[in-house]
Amino acid sequence: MINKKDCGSEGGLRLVPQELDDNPYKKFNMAFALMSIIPFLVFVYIIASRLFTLNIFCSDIGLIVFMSMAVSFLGFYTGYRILKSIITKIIYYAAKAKHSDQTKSEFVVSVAHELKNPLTAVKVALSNLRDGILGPISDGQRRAIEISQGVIDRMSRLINDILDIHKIEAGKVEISRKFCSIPEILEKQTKEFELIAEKKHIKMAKDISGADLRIWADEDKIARVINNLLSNAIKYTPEYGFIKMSTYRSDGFIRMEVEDTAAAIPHDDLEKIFDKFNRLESSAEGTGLGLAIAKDIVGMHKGEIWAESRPERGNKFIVMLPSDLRKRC
Amino acid sequence: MGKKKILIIEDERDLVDAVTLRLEANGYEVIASYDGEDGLGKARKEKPDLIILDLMLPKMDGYKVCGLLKLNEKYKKIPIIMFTARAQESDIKLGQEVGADAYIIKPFDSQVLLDKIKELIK
Repeated sequence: MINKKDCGSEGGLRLVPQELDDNPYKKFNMAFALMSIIPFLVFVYIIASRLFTLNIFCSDIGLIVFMSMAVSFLGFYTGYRILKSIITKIIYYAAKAKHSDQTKSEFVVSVAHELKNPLTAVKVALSNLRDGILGPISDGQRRAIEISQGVIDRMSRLINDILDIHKIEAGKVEISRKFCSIPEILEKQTKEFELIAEKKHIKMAKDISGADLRIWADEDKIARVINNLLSNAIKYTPEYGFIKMSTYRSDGFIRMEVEDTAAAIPHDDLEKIFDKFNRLESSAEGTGLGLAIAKDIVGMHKGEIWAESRPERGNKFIVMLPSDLRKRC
Repeated sequence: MGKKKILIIEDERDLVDAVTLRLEANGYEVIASYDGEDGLGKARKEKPDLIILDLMLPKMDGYKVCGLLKLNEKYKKIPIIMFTARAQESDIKLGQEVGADAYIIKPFDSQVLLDKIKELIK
């Protein structure tokens, strides 16, 4: 039900002009006015074709013509009111849903920020313990602390991912584009995973071919895409596996690939893995947001991201980004 | 040479305790404050060698505290590290505009904080 208090003096909703950029009633009234020209012209035509005079109303069929005109205008007016009421309801509920989404989003962002404070306190306290500030610790205690630290780091990543996805969806992401070098970003991001790869005995290889692998993009965001893809590859690739990153220029685009030897993703899941909170059943870690964020960032750069899987061989994630977005605008 | 004095202005008491423990173990003297107004007063009174300042504080926010200290000749040389849970570029820019010397985003690693402190207190 639409409450009366939500309605203005003319029955229009006050909420509507605040929530939408343009008052939709103006367009609606204009459309109806244009539509009303058609029956008006029909009547003018009837009168003109019958003796070119208004005497038609005084003839034998005068009453019928008058009645039909009255009924037409009444029907027209009733139709106008009904349609206006339907449109009002649609707009009202759309605005209400939008408002509710915004409130929910603000709540999630606020909770995520609030969680960071206690999380930081736990993180610092654990590192105090691990580093022996409160006294010497045994190997078993150190292992327990490291496990807790791992959990805290995962929680931090989840919070950051939630904040990022909300920012992206709310269109609040600040993008600062400049020319950046893809090989340099790849190099930096690979370094971050070298230690984990070494622990899992995973071999990492790079194939950077061709010159001018620069791109007009937000460096931090592109780094985030590569980071998320590498993090995924490291997570799912079993011990003694292989990860290969390649990049090359192709027809005004920069193509990046991250190939791994993880269990092949079923074909039916290849699109779903880019949805929010969609994790593979075999996954024990991760936030389920990394690929969704990567997809959003690639979308912001007018590019494409997709995955291919090869049974018994692994998966390949491909990103295609226009090398200079300005030329495409 | 005496211990270097660090003022922490942060409303999350558990975090203040954990950071204090860490800093004291590394040879610093720590003074704590839990709101902006009190923190500003302590900064003026104690003249610390470095201030760790949270952004969202009761009574007076971190930007204002930082701005007021950096505008005063007597205190403008005290390095300020800003703590925040927000990683927006506009927040960082605003922090730099009011004169913050460094920005650390929560949750942070203790070593990152220690390195930053060493870098700023020379």
